[in-house]
Amino acid sequence: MAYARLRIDKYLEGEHLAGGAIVDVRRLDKSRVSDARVTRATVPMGMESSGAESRVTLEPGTYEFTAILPSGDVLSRVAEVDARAEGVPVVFEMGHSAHEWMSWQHALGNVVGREALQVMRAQDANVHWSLVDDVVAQLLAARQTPGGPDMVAMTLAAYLAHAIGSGPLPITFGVPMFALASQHEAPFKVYRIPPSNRFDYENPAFVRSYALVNDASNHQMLCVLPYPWRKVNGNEASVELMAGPDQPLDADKGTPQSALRWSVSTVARDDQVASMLSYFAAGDDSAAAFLATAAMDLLFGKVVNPLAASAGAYILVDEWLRQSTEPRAAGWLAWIDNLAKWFPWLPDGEILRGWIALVGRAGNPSVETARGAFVDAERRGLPVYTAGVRRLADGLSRIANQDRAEGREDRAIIDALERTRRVAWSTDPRFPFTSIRLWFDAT
Amino acid sequence: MTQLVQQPRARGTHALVVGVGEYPWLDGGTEPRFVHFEGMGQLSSPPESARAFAEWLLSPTGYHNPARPLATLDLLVSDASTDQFVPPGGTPTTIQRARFADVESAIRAWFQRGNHPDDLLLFFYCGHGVARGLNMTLLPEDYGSLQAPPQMSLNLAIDFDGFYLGMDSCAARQQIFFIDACRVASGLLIRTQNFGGNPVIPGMAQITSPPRNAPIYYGAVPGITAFGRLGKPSFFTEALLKAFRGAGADDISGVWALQTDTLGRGIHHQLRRVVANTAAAGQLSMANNIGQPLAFHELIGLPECPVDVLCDPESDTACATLTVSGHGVQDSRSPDASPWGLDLELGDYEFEARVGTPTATSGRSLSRVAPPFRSVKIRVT
Repeated sequence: MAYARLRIDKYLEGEHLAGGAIVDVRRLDKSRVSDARVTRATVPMGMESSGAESRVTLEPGTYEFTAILPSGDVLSRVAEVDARAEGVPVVFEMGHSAHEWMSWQHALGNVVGREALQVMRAQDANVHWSLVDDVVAQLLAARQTPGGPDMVAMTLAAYLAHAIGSGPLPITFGVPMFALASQHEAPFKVYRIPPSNRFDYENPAFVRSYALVNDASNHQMLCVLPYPWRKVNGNEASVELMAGPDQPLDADKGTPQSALRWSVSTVARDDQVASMLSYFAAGDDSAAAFLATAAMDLLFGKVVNPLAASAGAYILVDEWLRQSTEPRAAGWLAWIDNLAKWFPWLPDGEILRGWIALVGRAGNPSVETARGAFVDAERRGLPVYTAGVRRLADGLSRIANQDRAEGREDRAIIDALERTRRVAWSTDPRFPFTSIRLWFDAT
Repeated sequence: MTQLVQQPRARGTHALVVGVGEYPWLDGGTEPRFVHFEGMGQLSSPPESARAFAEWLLSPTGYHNPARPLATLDLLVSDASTDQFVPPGGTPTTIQRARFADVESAIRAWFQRGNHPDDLLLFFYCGHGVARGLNMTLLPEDYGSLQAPPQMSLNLAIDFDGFYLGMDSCAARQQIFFIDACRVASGLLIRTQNFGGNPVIPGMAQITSPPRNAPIYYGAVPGITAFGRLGKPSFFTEALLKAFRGAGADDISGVWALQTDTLGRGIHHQLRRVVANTAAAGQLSMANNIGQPLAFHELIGLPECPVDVLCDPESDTACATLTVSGHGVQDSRSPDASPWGLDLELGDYEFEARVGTPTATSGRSLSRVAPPFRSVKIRVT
């Protein structure tokens, strides 16, 4: 046997992405009829010095390696894989970001590379280069009240009910706020959240964090932060926000500019989870599921980070439900109960529990279990993930529809649905972490 | 309803295709303009898009699914210029318009036709759409005809998200939705709070088991107009149909087939290509709920793949003559600053660049072309 050593060459400020991208491997020197795929593998992103590489064992032969990046870009290499002891290196080049501080956003497909940006500047692309000059971001920290409704969610619900676009979100719940420093090159700003003090995910009064991003015209976004974020090695991952144009940078001069103007993408620099979430948000579920499956034991085994575990569960839950009679899938479905129970400040565990109840493990659905889970999830506060907002709104809708058909009125469901819908109407679906737009410009 | 195909089959594909271009109560229409028309007017692309999608389904070189052959096709089109459709190799047929009641009854009939778990349902919509965040509403021809109070107009609109939830109760567990519509925000929708139109098929609480495969491919991201073109299929439909020729294909099953998990990648690259240097260069598509991969169309022959050819360094592309040869293809392009966009069959090709000025340099690249896309950079020395 022989093996190939795969890596995407990418500088990531001294870090690497273990689950960087997926790569499909096809053999070229055998039957050319179908070129059927030999295998799919994970390829890490990082510098050679980081030691990041994955090994794929193959029969000696000629292979094409096709990497699909989180941005959707495609890199391919054809290599002769022989039986040499040290393996055959297959290194993909994805180019550089405009700045080191944009390297993770570039790796995850949120911003174009340095060369593309230079071309656009040279061609005077139709970008409002000053678009985010007046954008500022503030960090909010809000301690959960065990058993009580979440004040951030309640304030937001009241705001969305009465006053979309009529002024800034009234921060009246007395939470500490401070301005975040940014690194800036027009038309982008990157804000890095400072490392957290000691924290305990299992503390019922866990402090949840948000970024309130606004410009001088009172356009505001409320971003739920996946913060603090602990990696499987126990270290804390950097969490960063990038504000940039809402339109692709290469928009032609004739393109009507979006009323949305600018948007914010949030990244948790976790080597196992970051790419997986980018694929998921981009709609490439198979790539996301492949990475999540590869990292499943790391994500779920020790519950190092319930935020990371929730991300994996959103990606894999439907697959588990399809295989719910298989012991491993059944085990993970049962494990979701722990996620809901051990972290009472986290809405996403309860949302997943409610969703599973609507289908039922081994085909035994319980609408009443789902009813309780969804109402409790909404009381816990804003879902960390956009997928959670969607599933909470869908789940509450389903139950409300059935109640209506049966002539039943459950105020808790009706009220939770009304508040959740308002959040869903303002949530930007392109990003994995919940980002809520607090202004409205109809065309 | 205009059922163009009605072939009883044990397991089959049932398609519902809707294109709405004429809106009498919106700007430029023949009826009193709806006060909340919100900038929306007449469209010429959606009828062409719907016809193009239906032609692909009917063409001998188009839709090919041996496990689930096309069993029914229902086409509804609101077009100011003609109510005719000419199937490939067929004679002109008068087609039903896409007013709310027509679409509603077509959806219900389509729902009932998908009466076997292995049936595949295809839903294609092209026309006006409005959105708020994660939710979307589709507008049939007679949107705006119920003018007072304004929110009544939404009784003649389709709450797509509610409809999508409702489709979970359909027996057919394979469903694919293509939504080629704008997703710009609507003031009326925002103000109506909990009402975003009629879901047509109300959802139930329990999720039907086994969970369905029901991906949605959107022609635009939220807040963005899905650009159409005068008298031609929209950019998204063009990209979609091109992706059907190979960019969205995979060979994991041993044959090249369009798969729901790889289709989005193909659409992405084709859309990038077809909107280049046009007014719609900002448009991007989105996909949701892709779930388990489903092969829904086997390619006849090899996949056709989008390829961009340029020089390394890129600045040399502007003064290079580019050539390609292989697989019976022999082609060249005169100097031009933009990448050379080609659609080539799967295989190995030789690409060459000759730069005449300021110094005579050249380069050559032997490259393999395969789905979903290849960028060939010829190092010029």
